[in-house]
Amino acid sequence: MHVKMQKVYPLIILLIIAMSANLAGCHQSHNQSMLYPAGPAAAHIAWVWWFLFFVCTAIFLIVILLTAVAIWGPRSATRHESTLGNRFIIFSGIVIPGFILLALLVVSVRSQVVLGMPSTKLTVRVTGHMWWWEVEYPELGIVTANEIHIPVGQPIRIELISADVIHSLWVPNLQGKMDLLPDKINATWMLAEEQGIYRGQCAEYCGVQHAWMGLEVIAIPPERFNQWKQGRQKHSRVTLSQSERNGFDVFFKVACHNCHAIDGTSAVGVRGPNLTHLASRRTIGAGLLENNHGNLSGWVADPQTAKPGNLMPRTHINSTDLRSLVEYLETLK
Amino acid sequence: MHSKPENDRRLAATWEPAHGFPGVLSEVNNQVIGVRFMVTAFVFFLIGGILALLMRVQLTVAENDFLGPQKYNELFTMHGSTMMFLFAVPFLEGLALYLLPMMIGARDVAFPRLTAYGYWVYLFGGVLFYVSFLAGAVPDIGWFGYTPLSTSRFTGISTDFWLLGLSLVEVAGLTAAVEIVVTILKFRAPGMTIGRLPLFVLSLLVVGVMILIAFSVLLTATVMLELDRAFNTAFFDLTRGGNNLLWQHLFWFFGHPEVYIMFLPATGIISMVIPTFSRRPIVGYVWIAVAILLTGFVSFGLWVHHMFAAGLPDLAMTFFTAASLMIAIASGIQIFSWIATMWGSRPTLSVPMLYTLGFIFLFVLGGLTGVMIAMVPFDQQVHDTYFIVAHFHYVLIGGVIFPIFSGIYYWTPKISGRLLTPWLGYASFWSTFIGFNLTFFPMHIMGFLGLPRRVYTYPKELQLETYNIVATTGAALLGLGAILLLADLIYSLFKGKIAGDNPWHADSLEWSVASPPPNYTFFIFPIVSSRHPLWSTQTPDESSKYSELCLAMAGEPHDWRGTLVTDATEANPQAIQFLPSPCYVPFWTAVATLAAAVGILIQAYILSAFAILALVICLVIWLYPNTDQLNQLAQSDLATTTDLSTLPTSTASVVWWATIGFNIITGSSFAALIYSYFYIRLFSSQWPQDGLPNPSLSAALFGLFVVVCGVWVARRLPLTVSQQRLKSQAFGSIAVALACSMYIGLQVWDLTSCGLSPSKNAYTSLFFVITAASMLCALVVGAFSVFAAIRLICNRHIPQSSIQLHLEIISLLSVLLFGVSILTFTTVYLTPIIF
Repeated sequence: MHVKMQKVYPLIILLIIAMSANLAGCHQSHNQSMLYPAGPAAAHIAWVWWFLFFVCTAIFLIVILLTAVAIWGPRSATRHESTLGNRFIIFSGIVIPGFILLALLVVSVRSQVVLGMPSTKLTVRVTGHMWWWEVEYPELGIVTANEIHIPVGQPIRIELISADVIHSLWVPNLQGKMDLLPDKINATWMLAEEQGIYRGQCAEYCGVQHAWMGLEVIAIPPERFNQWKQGRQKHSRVTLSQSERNGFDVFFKVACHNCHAIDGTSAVGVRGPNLTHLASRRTIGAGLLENNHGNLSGWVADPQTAKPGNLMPRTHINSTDLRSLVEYLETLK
Repeated sequence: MHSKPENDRRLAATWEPAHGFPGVLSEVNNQVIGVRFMVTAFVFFLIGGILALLMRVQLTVAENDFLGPQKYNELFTMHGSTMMFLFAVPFLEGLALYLLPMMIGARDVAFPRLTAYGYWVYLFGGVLFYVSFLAGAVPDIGWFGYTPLSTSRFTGISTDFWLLGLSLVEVAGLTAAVEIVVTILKFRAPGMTIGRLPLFVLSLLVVGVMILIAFSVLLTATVMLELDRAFNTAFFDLTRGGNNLLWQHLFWFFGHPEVYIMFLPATGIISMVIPTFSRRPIVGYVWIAVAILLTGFVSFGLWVHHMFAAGLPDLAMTFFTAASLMIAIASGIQIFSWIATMWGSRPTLSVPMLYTLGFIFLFVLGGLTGVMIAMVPFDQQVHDTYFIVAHFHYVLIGGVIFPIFSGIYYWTPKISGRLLTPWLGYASFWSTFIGFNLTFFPMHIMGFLGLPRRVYTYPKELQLETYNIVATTGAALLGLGAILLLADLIYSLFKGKIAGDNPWHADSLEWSVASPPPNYTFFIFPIVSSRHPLWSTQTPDESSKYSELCLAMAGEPHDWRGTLVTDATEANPQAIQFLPSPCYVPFWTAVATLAAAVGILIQAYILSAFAILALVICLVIWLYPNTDQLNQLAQSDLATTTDLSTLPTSTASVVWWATIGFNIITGSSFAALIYSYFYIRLFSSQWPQDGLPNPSLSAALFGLFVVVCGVWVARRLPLTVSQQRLKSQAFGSIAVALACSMYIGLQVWDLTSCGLSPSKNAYTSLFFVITAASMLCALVVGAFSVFAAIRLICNRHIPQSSIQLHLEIISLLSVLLFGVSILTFTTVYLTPIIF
C-alpha cells in the first residue's frame, strides 16, 4: 500500500497545481469572479478568502501530516487512556482550535462591520422576475432591464425585491450576494473602482430558467453616466419609416404590449422587461444573447428555443411582419 | 432440563423467520428488516448516483442541451432528495437496526412490528417519489422546496409527490428513531452501563433523540405546506398574510441537524474501525462521547447559516457564526482522538481502514471549507455556488459515504458470513477516492469563477469547461468505485471465503456471535464488564453477579420470543420483554398510510378518509392486548426461575419509554406550530390579521379547565392497581375520556361558532390548525382511556401489571395533553388579548 499512496498523492498535488495555474491564466475575462475584485466590498472578501485559505491549508497539512506519522511513524506503546493521549486531544482538539476559531470570529465580525452600508447618493431598485431583472432608478425616473449602469467611484444603494419567487443578486466582482424576497425589501450596496462590465446572475434556484437569469453591471466614469442618464430620461422618438411604423402596429397586433411597456406609447405591460431603450441594451433574454439584429429576430420569432420554458410565448407572425417589428424595436435606442 | 443443542433448536424454531410469499410481508425480525433497509437504501443510492452522472454529462461542456432545463431541474431535485432522504439516513437506520441488538447483547430491537411498519412506509414513500417519473410530474423544486416556488401558485402535482413521499419517509425515520433509542436504553446486556457503550451505539443514541426532534419539525413543515396546497390554508401565501422565510427557518431547523444525523453514526463507524485495526482501545473515549453530545446539542443552533444571504440582522448572523465555529471543535476532538489511537500502532491498512483514512482526508478538507463558510462575508460570496456544492460533497461523501463504505467492508463478513475480496476492495477504494477528488475539488474553483448552483448550463465566456471535463471524468471513476463495491459484495456472497465469528479480532459483542448470526442473535446473554468485552477478561465479581441469571436465561424463553430488559443507566437486569412473532398488521397499516397519502395526492379525499379509518382499525388490532397471551406470560416459569417480571411496567417497560418518545415527537411537532404562530405574528402589521376580532375566551377557558381536571385524574390512575380498586380505576378512565371528549366538543363548538374559515388568512389557518392539533392530542388520550375502561369493565382476568402499564401510558400521555392544551390556550387565545 505504501507504494501506491506515495504515487497517488504527488499526482493529486500536481493536479491541484495545474488547476491553480489554469486559474491564474491571464487570457480569461474574469468578469464573474470573486477572486478579481473591482470594488472595496469584493476586495475585502477576497482578502478574507486568502486569509482563510492560508490558515486552513496550514491546518489541513498539519492534520494530514499527523495522520501519516500516526500510521507510518515509529511503533510506540499503547496510549490507552494515557495522560499523554488525553493531553494531546485537549491541546490539539480544543485549545489550539479554540484560539484559531476565536480569531476567525473576530475577523468575521470585523468584516461585517467593514461591509456595512456606506452613505449613498444614488439608489437602484432591482426587482427579480422569473427569469429577468427589472432595474429602476427611482430618483432618476429610469426603468430598464438586465443591466445596471453605475458611475465609477460612487457607492450605490441597491434595493432588492422579488415579483414572484426568491431570487438572489450576485455580481461577484463587486459584492457578495443578497436574496430578493417577495415580501421584504433587502438592501445591499456596490461600488466599482474600475471602469468595466461585470457579469452577475441569479444565485437562488427560481424555477426552470434559473440558469439564464443573468445581468451586467456596467461601471462607467461619472460624466459618461450623466450622459447615459440624460439619454434614458427622454424617450428617443425618431421619425419612423413606413416599415418601422408597420412594426409598431405589429407590436400591438400580436399583443406584445400585454407584457411589455414602451414609454411614450400605449404599451404599459409589466410582466416582461420595459423596452423603451431596448436597442441600446447589450444583451437580450437576460444575459443570454448578444443584442444584434440576427439574435433579436430569432428571439422575437421563437424565444422558446434559445431559453426553453421562459414566459415569453412563440409569436406566430409572418416574416414581413417580423422584419418590420424588429426594425421598429431597433429604433428604441 | 434439555441439552444445549435441543434448546438451541427450540429457540431457533421460535425465532424462525417467515418464508415465501406472502410470508415475507409479515417478517418483523430486526436482522431481516435491517438488511431490507440497507439493500433498499443502496438501490436508491445507485439510482441517485445515475441521476448525478446524467447531470455531470449535461454540465461537461458549456451551453449543452443534452438534458435541457426542465429535466435537469428534476434530476437535481431527485438526486438531492434521494441521497438525503432515501439513502443516507435509511441506510444508517438499517445498519443500526441490524447491528444494535448484536452490539448490546439483545435478541431483537424493542418494537419489531414498528420496525417492519417503518420499513414498509419508507419503501412506499420512496416508490411514491419515483412514481412521479411515470406520472410525468417529477418534482423540480430542489430538495429544500423553498416557498413560494413550492406553493400551488408556481408548481403542480409534482410538488405533492415530493411532499407526500417525504412525509412517509419522515414517519419511517421517526419510528426507527424511537426503536433505536428505546432499544439502546433498555436492551443492553447486564453490565453494559452507559459509560461502556460502544461509540457507534452512543452516537446512535444521540442521533435517535436528534431525529425525534428534527424530523418532527420537518413533518410539521411539510404538513403545513401540503395543507396550503391541498386545503387552501395560508401559512406560506404572501397575499393572505403568510410568510415566506418561515419555511426556510423550519426546513433548516431540521436540515442542519440532518447533516449531523448522518454524520454522527458515520463517526461512530470510524470509532469502531480504528481501534480494531490499531489493535488497541480508543484513546479519549470520554472526549469522543462529549464531542458527540456537543455536536448533537449545538447542531440545533446552526440553521440560520443556510440563510446568510437572506438579509437577516447582523447580530443574529454573528451568533450563528459563533455556533457554527463551535461545532468545529467537536469535530476536531474526534479527529485528534482517532489520530491518538492510531499513533505508533502501525494499523493494518485493510479496506475498511483505507476508507477510514480516506474519510479523515476528505472530512478534514470539507470541515475546513465549512469553517470558511461559517463566516458571513465569505459565505455571502460563495453561498449557492459550486464552492458549496464542493464543500457539502466533501462532508457528505467524504464524511458519510466513506464511513458507510468502511462499515460495509467491516460488517459484511458478519452479515453474510463471507469475506470480501481484498483486491476488489483496494480497487474500489482508489477508484472512489481519486474519482471523488477529481469530481469535487475543481468545483471549489468553479464557485470562485462565478458558477452558481442548480444551473443546467453556463455561458461559454465563464471558461469553466476544463474544470467541468475533469469533474465529469472523475464522476465516471467515482461511479466505477461504487460498481466495484457492488461487484465485490455480490461476488463474495457466493464465492467469498468463510469469515468466521471474528475475522478482524475486534472488541465489540457483535463479533462474539456466529457469522451470519442466528435470528435470535444470542443463545446466552453476554455479561459486559468493560468497554471492550472481547478484549478483556471479565472481572470475577461482575460476571458472578449476573452469571446465575444468564445461565437461567440460556436458550430461554424458548416458546415465545423474548429478551432481557435492563435499566437505562447501570444495565442491571429488570425484566423479560415479550417480542412479537411475524405478523401482517404492520404491512397493512403501512398500506393504509400510503393510501391516505395517495388520496391527498390525487385529491380523492374520500379515499384518504377511508384509509385513515383503516389505519385506525389496524392500530387497534395492533395495540389490542391478547388476554390469553398476557396470562400465559404472567404465569411463565421463567418469571419464577429468574425472579424477573415477564410483564414489566413503568420504567422497566419499553412501552413506557416509547410513550416518552411519542411525547417528544408530538411536542416538537406542536412546538413548530407555536413557533410559526409567533413568527408570522412578528411580521404582521396587525394581529389578528385583517382586523378580525380577538378569539373569545369563555369556551376555551372552560375547555382548558376540563382538560386540566382530566389530566389531574389521569395522573392518579396508575398509583395503585389492586382488585379492590379496579372499579375506581374504571370510573377514573371514564372520567378522563369524558374530559377529553368535552374538550374536543368545546373546541369544535368554538371553531364552528367563530364564523371564520381556516383559508381566510394566515392567522385563521394558525388558529384552526393549532386548535385542531390540541384536539388530536385529546383524542389520543381519550381513546386510550376508553380502551382502558373497556378492559377494566369487561374482563377481570387481565394480569394487573398489564392494566397498570396501560394506566401509566394514559398518565404519560396526559402530561403531553396538559402541555399542549396550556400552550394552545395561551398562544391562540390569550396572547392576542394581552399583547
